[in-house]
Amino acid sequence: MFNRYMFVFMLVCCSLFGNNLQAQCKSFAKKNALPKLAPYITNGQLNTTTMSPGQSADMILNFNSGQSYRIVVVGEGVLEAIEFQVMDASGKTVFKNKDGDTYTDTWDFTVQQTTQLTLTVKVPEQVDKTQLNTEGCVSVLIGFKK
Amino acid sequence: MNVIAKSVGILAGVCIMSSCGNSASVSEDKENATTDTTAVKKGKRDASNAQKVFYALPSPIETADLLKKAGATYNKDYLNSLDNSTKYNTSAGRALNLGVYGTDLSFTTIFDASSESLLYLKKVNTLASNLGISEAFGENTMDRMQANSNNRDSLLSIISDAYWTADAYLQDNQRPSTSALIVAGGWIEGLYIATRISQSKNSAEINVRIAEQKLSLDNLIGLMTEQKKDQDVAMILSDLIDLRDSFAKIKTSAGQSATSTDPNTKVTTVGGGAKFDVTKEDISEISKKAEAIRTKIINKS
Repeated sequence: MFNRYMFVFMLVCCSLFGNNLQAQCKSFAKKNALPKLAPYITNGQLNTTTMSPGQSADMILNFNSGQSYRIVVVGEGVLEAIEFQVMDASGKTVFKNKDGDTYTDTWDFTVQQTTQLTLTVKVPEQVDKTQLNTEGCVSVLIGFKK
Repeated sequence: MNVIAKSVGILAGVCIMSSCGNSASVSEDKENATTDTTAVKKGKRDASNAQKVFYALPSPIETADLLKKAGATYNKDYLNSLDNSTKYNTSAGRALNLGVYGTDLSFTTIFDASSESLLYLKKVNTLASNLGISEAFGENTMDRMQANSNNRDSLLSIISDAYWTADAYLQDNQRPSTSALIVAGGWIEGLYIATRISQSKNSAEINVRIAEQKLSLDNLIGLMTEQKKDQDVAMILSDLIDLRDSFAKIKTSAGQSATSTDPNTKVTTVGGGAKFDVTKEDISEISKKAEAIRTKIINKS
């Protein structure tokens, strides 16, 4: 009887664990990413996911001529520096955040003509392979300025 | 001690299985993303290489701002009547029209119709509460808007932050289809208003802004496709795919690619992009379909 109750209790705890990660990502985005967007206005969409070293995520984005934009990409502390690059519709890279050992987390830009760009976010592979595979939140925010 | 050891073992096993569920959902997203290749321009980039694909759309505030810059003037007749809010009794009806009223709120704010902004904010608050996301548009947001009623930029920030909070809440609570319906309702309302403005003003610049929605529509279809198991999403998705056929008739040409970065401000200017050669017939066809979809949405219980 005790074992049965214990099993059910642990199942409930573990189901809550997944939801807790999501809630942490939202809190992380609000606290760490959203302030970096100012004075740009957010597009109102939360783009946050948990990622592990070696994983990548793509974001398909449209930008209008006549506006100024900012992209913010922030990773949670347990991850190493986050790489991101932006490519135009022909696949040509228009921006990379990595410069030597420095990773910037914001990019300000305008577009000459309304265009579609692809943002790729990548968590670098773990340098220390003895560490347990860590995963953490990565947030991408888009803002515009009139 | 044996009981404790067994319990720890079971706990570890169940938690590993829970985290595998996350990977499965990322793989599933990847699978759904690759079913709609039009969401990514045909070129050298293959979105399916990524574990996850996001589809972002311009906010209704940005759309309203673009139309205002193109010479649009405010007309409250273009907006969804506040009286219609009594119809919205299902989750889908509320979500779609939360998007619609959110766009209307963006328009009233951009055009400084402050008394109407507060009325639309109240409707947005009601629908958000009915959907369980009152924290985004509750009393605090209302108070902030009233306190900043003469500061348009502050109002726009407050509205954007509220929608961000709402989206975050829905993602947190595993309700991505509700989020998708809100985005879809908002986008359709923005397109509808733009086509109404075009009919009254017949401006080449506004028509180009309408044509440019072709790119956003691709992303919206990508976003909705990920949630197509939801029957309400599937219904709107079907209409959007039909609308895309009309946008596909617009001739486009690629701009020359030349990107440069200002060394002082560090702001990059991205060259290239698309030039749209849009005709009156294109706009007329898109307007009819936009109106039909919008009518369906604002009359949906």
